[in-house]
Amino acid sequence: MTVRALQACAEEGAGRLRRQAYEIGFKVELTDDRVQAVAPKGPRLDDAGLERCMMHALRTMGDAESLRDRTEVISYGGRLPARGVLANVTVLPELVKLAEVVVAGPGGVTIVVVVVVVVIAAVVLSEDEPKEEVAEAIKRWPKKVLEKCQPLFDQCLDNLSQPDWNREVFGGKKDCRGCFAECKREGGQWPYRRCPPPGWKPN
Amino acid sequence: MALSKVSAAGLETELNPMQEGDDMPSADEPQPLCWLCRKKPATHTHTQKNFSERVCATCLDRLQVQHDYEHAWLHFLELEDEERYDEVLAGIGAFLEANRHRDHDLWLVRSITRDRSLILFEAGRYAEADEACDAWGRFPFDNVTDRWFHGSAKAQIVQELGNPREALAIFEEAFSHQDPRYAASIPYYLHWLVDFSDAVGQPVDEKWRSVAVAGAADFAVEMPVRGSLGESMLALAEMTQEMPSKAQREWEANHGGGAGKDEP
Repeated sequence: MTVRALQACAEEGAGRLRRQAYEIGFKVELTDDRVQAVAPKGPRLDDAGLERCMMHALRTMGDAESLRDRTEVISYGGRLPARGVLANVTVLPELVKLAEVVVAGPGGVTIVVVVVVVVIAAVVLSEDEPKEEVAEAIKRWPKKVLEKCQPLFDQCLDNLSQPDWNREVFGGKKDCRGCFAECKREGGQWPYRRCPPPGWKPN
Repeated sequence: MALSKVSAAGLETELNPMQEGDDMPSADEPQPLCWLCRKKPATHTHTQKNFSERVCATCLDRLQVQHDYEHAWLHFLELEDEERYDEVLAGIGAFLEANRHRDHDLWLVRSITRDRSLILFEAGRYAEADEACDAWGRFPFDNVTDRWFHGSAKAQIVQELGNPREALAIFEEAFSHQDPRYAASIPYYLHWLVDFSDAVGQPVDEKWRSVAVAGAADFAVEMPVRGSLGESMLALAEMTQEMPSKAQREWEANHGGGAGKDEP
């Protein structure tokens, strides 16, 4: 039901988006099977109405029974794009469900919705889920942004000096931490002008 | 002999081997100037992975501090990913206290003030992030892109605090500081104009068209024509992402086909 609600949001609001692909994260805090808070996390959509719609969909998913159904917040395909489930829902002994849902809107707009449910109390425990798997799942979120930014940050640290052609304007040293921070804020878009990777030669 | 030290983040780093006497030219040779400050004589060698630079003693220390702080972030990022924000804040604070005496040009305190703001924002502590962001803004900016970065961060905080109109005004003020040398960076920041304008339900002000056109000109392209200025801006940003800037093209033209080496 929650996936359908998210999909409905996308169908209604994706036409207002400017790009073809987005990734957005939400942190859902849950107490006693009830949603206490929903907050966006990381990169944002550029349409506040669509974002609010998705937050509402998540805010109303907190009925006890629905969250006990581990398939509830994820898509197994069907009407949704073939990419389907990108990470399985898992239940932490103490706190978290993690899902990643792909919803599609008109004109081929794709939105990857990453949902982290922080269960503060009364969680349904799953004995057969190893903790390691859960820990790995948490590390994966929001994996795409970090996957894009972290390797460039590492490269930057290994090559702190600006290339010759960039020294005139950006000085001798790259500000790697600053560039990493910008990359994260920009949803994985590295500031190549400020911190060009070694040997970077655009087309 | 390599010296080692343990930074506040608990990371061991290696100081560059430098022996002042070895680096000194003979008395009748002109002393080259420091590569970084271009003021003092270059008396030391700053060694990186595949190359070295001749610098003065003060700049060597300054470069080492930057190296240590940047690498300390490999550790802080792990904490940040786990949302252990207080530990990150404590870590960078400790780093500053341990290295303040080496912060010759205030690079470190400025960077840490900036990072405090960014961490607090990520932690959702917007009022504190706002204060830290203001403190960051009181340091001089190295260039206009630093000012745009700060302006976008401040505007984002203000937006989260429920003042989207003020957020737009803040970013517009920051972005009004233009310098043709940084035109290649314009497209990267254009989406903030679009986002903050959207948040108050208005199109991007036409006064920004000339700025976007200047950004396009740096890449020797025309502004893409779309349904609105905002959409044209976003298209420009996407189009120029992987294109060489004017500076790169000129370098290529003047230095025989390469984009320039990464090492001095």
